[in-house]
Amino acid sequence: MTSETLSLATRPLWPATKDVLLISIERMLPRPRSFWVFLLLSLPVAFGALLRIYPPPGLPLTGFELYGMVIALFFVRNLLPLVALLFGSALISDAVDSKTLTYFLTRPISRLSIFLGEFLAYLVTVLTLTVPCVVVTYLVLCAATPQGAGFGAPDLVQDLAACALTLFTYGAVFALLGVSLKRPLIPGLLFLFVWEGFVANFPGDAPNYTLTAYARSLIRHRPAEEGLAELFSKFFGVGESVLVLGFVGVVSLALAIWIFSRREYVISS
Amino acid sequence: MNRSRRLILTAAAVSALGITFSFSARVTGTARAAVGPVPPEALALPADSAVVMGFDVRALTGSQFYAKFGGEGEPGRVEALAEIERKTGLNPARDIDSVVVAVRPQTEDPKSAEPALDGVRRHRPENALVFVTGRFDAARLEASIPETGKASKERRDGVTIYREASGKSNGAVALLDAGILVAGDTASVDTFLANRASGRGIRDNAALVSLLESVEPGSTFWAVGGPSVLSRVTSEIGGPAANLPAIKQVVAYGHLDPEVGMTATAEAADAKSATKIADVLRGFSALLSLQAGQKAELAQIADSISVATEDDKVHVKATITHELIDSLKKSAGSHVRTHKGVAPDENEIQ
Amino acid sequence: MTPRVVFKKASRWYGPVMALNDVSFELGPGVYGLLGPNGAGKSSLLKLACGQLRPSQGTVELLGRPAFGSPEVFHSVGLCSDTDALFEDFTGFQFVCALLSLNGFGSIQASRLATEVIETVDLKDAMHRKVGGYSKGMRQRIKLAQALAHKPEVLFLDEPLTGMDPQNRKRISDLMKRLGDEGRTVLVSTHILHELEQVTRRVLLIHNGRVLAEGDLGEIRDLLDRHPRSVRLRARDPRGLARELVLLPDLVSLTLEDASGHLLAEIRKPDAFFARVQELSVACGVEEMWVTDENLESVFSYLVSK
Repeated sequence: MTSETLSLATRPLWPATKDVLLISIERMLPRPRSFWVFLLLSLPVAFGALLRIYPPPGLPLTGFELYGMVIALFFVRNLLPLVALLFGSALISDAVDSKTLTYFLTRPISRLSIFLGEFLAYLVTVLTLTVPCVVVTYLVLCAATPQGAGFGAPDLVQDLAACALTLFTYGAVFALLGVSLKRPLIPGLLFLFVWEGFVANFPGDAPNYTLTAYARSLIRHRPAEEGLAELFSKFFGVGESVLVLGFVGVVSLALAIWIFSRREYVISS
Repeated sequence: MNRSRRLILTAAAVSALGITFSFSARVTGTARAAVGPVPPEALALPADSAVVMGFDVRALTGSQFYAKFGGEGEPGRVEALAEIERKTGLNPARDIDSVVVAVRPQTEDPKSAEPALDGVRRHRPENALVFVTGRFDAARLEASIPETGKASKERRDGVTIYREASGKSNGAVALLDAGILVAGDTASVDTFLANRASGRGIRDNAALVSLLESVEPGSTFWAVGGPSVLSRVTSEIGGPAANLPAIKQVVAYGHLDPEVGMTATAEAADAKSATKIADVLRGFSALLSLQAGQKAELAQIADSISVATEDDKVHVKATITHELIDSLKKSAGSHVRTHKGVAPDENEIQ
Repeated sequence: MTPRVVFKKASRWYGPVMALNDVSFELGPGVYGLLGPNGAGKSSLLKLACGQLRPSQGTVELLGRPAFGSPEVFHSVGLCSDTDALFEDFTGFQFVCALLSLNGFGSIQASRLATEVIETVDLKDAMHRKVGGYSKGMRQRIKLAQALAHKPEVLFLDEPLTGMDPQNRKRISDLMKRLGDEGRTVLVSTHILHELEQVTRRVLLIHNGRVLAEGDLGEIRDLLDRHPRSVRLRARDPRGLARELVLLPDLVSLTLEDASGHLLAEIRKPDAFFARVQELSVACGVEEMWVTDENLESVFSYLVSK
């Protein structure tokens, strides 16, 4: 096929998105950043293995309860939003910084395809890093316990879905931040630790305006809140949480695409 | 593209293996696989349970039966449910998936081992432990439970336990997570929690497991009972039932759609006893037929019941159509109206 | 034939800074040189031409469509940018194949085209090595390969020969010439004049965001020849050499620096001057000669002042 035989039309959305996805995964997944994030996500596995090898005397929690704490507090509340920030905010800005965006912008593909391909690559990458860590954490903490690995199997699947939705929504929000701002990391960290960290535990309706309150509501077997958090924590129904997170994710994604489609990228040597 | 493909495949393989292993353990594992209609999470119910019964609330609320008859509630009941929802955020029809109730047998109360003045030993009353699965707004539910001075709260092994503190009873509620709630007397709730941590429970009672496994899968409601409670049931009911031979065990289950159907199998001491029980039941059915003159529906009910014996077992089957229930309800309604019609006369007499 | 690249009164500002000012030209088939010193606006012009920037004023058309927001034209357009950016973890072959896949080529076709173009730029031996380990010249050639791989009608090459050895310069120059002869439009941006002379006679001269001259390289060359050039010479007999050089008609001035013994000549028509110096080199013992102001900046300053 030469240029003469190609019609002068932008390539269809999904084939082009798939091609961008394949290139972007290769540029995103086998990277040092992914390796360090994977190490961070593997911490609960090491923690669980240590607990199983050297069980502390009189540990008041069962393996499944420990797993519940890890998934609700470590993964969904803290680490996954951070992972989403690291990868999501860098979706386009990495390509700008490495000056490789030009290669995508000078191909017969729409900017929508470029953005969707990059975002799907982000999702594949973070899920590739997260899902095995969650599953192995579950097995390490729950298998060969009196309750057994089968006890929370349906919860494990639901938790994986909750992780995926959390990564999708936060990823979309930070991708929006990434295409809107030149340096998205600091505002992203402020959003995570100031807004999401504190406001989610405010009394009244304030938690309604945080993502973390909905994300943590997705974990059905979460541990009960302690102390002040117990008074203030607000939880929502699973359906409501899925709707809110999905809506925020889709709207953020649409806005990010809109901005990316209109923006000029001045990339020079 | 090979490196990322290898990484993705490795991650997918690890995840798939882990999930498959977990579900295999759930299905085939001896420790935590479901026993008959009892879900794995409820296997920590006490091993000494004499009767275990359950209700698939989700199947009930989704049934034609519920659509026809479930919406009509007495005003008091509707208000009570609304009150529960207001306080706890819990709408039973919407939020509860299933209920399993385990009844532990009466035993002598060790605290009152000495005979009382009347010379009768105190028995600990039957303790029902209720296990509920569904979707609970944990925070709201927790907030609704404690009222100053009436309940004490305790956190143990990652579970929040509320205990009755008024001294009138010894009830307790344990909120295991946002999807499981256990309620009953303190001792039974504590037994459940201890079993849950140790992996012990209903599986340790082989006889009960055998009964549970004979419940037809997919039944909307079911109950199984062992001899310890059933022997007392027959003796304490009194009347003709008091003359019934002792029932060793019973399994009953049923469904609501397309008609209400129930199957029960009772095991007697021997074939002779089984025949005697069957005869009593047939006699009961014949009585219903005899009253058909006053109420035609009774004959239909009698026709819908079949009783058969097989060695020491008695099989009872009953199928009642929704139309029959409807017509029974209507005739009961007219009966009530008739009574209400009488009331003014009574007033006049007064 | 319809022009493939059309600038109509195109201007571009970055905030208050004007990068390109009222530029108009049309390009049909053939090789064109975009000549200008660093910062003249060459890269901005190329970015406008291949739709990476919107013109602040005027229009820029590529293959009959607005260059900005028409990704479909890139079926027939290739860009070799001046940025030293590649997919560092890809091999040269994977890099070209990946970008061909974005153009809609299936894997078999992409492999064939990639192999073909990698051979063309003489990187066959290194095609399965990671581009992160390539030398400067090899990186330049793989960049060129990805621009050429899909056989585009229009090629924008920004400083394509940077970092290449003489052999590869010759190879790539010949390739550009061949592409022009095949009827493709090739716009080559450079600040080195003699690089351009080997591939084309058609030149756009750009300085301070304005196109100063457009036309045949000979005319530009004449203009440049009229610009006095400073040449420094070192010889065993500087006085004797000076005596001979003052006879040249195009000599503007000649200074003998007593301290260093160097001669500083200001000349027009450097070709004639260099030929005469060559003749005198043995007799006067010319040891060294270098042009002190042969950067384009000084040439363009001269042209602007004209």
